[in-house]
Amino acid sequence: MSYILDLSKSVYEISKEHPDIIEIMKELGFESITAPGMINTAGRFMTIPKGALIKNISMDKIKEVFKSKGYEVKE
Amino acid sequence: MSEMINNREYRQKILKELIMELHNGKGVDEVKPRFEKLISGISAKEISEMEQALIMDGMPVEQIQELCDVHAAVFKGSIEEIHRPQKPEEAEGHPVNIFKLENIELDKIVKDRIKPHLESYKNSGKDEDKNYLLEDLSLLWEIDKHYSRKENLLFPFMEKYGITAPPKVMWGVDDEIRDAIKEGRVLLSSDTSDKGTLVEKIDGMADKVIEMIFKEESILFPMVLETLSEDEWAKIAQESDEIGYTIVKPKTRWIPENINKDDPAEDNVQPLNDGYIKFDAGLLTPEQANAMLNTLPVDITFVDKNGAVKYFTQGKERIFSRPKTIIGRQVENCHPPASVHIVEKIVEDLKAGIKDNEDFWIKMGEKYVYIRYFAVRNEQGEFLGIMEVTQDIKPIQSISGEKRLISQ
Repeated sequence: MSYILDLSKSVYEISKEHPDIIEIMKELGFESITAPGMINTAGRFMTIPKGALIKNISMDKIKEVFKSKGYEVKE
Repeated sequence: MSEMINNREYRQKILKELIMELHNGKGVDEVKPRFEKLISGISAKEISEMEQALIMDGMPVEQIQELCDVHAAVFKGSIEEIHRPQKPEEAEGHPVNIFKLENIELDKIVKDRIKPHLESYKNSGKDEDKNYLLEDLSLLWEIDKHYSRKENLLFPFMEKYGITAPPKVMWGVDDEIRDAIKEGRVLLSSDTSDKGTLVEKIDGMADKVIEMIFKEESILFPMVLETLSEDEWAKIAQESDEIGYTIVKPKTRWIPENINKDDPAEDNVQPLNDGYIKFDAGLLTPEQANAMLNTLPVDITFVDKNGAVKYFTQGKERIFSRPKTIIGRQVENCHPPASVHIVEKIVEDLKAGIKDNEDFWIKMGEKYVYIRYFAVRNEQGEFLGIMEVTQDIKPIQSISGEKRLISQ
């Protein structure tokens, strides 16, 4: 089954629909994401592309990993 | 250009011309582009002030009202929108506005100075470039004030609203940046440091500074602007001077519109009550007790048994600045995350009675600071809280011999 990962949505919004993205993002190097309350606060203002810029993680890699987990990436 | 951006009189003149044009029969659509240009970047408040000024100058109100159609056209149909509140973060002196201006300066230091100097040093390896970099890093160290205001003034309010994770993570990174700047300065001052390591470390530190600017602008500021109330911002603005600013200095203190301008959020001006406080040996008025504590040659902070900061003295020169916003705050949130576990251990030991006090002594610039933590207990031995006493002992250490009344 394929999920849609909408990159324009906030991490908070995406995680509400697909809670498993938190674990995937942590594996990708967003280690602060699992700090309690992070998703509900900063997550509302964060998008995956913004996070990628901050953490210097390539968007290509992120897309690739999400695709391998069965996501369809929407830009 | 500057007269177009900055000059009220100039704008007023244009506004007047526009009104006259309308009055002389020009259509809204003809006037609209100039009006749009005129009002871009200025507040609705200033527009109404300008209109008011024109009325005072004798321009008939009816003529000015003709502008309403233009307002409406520019703001897509809603006249109310012209009077919508200005974005607070754009107001001069608003804490977020100051943070943003500081970020512009910090960005410049990194991109226009550190990066080019680093590149030049990488190619030449000259001492001259190292000296430039040392200067740049000294200037960059001003970032400490930007971070301190964020940590000590902004974070407490975020905690109040239950936003605890982002501040903790961010504070950790702030400290990493501070350490990296210090390390960079040590490496630059040493003759034996390896060029490769030096370039790599400073470059990494510079990137972290830029990242932090991005984090603040794209997450932190939007988050706090949505969360904090105007009077909380006023409080932050008020406490900011105590810590100081990074490179920029606000010309005016921001006062929110819905707060009485003569009394900017002064909730701490309640006079001390009359009457006396009875001590074990004697009575003092609250005024005397307060003034005495502030006159003690040491800085005192008291944290209650639940870990909330309850009080600190207001001596003339405090060793560690204490903004009033920390009153009521949990003490573990007032320390950098790296040292929190140490603080917690001290608190536990003092609380449990394992120790009665714990002392530290550190060098801080010219000062030799003696920091002592005491368990405060009542007569029954019940734990009431912890008192921190700090003091610069350098002048005391240099005392020798005797000085007697008679030698005066």
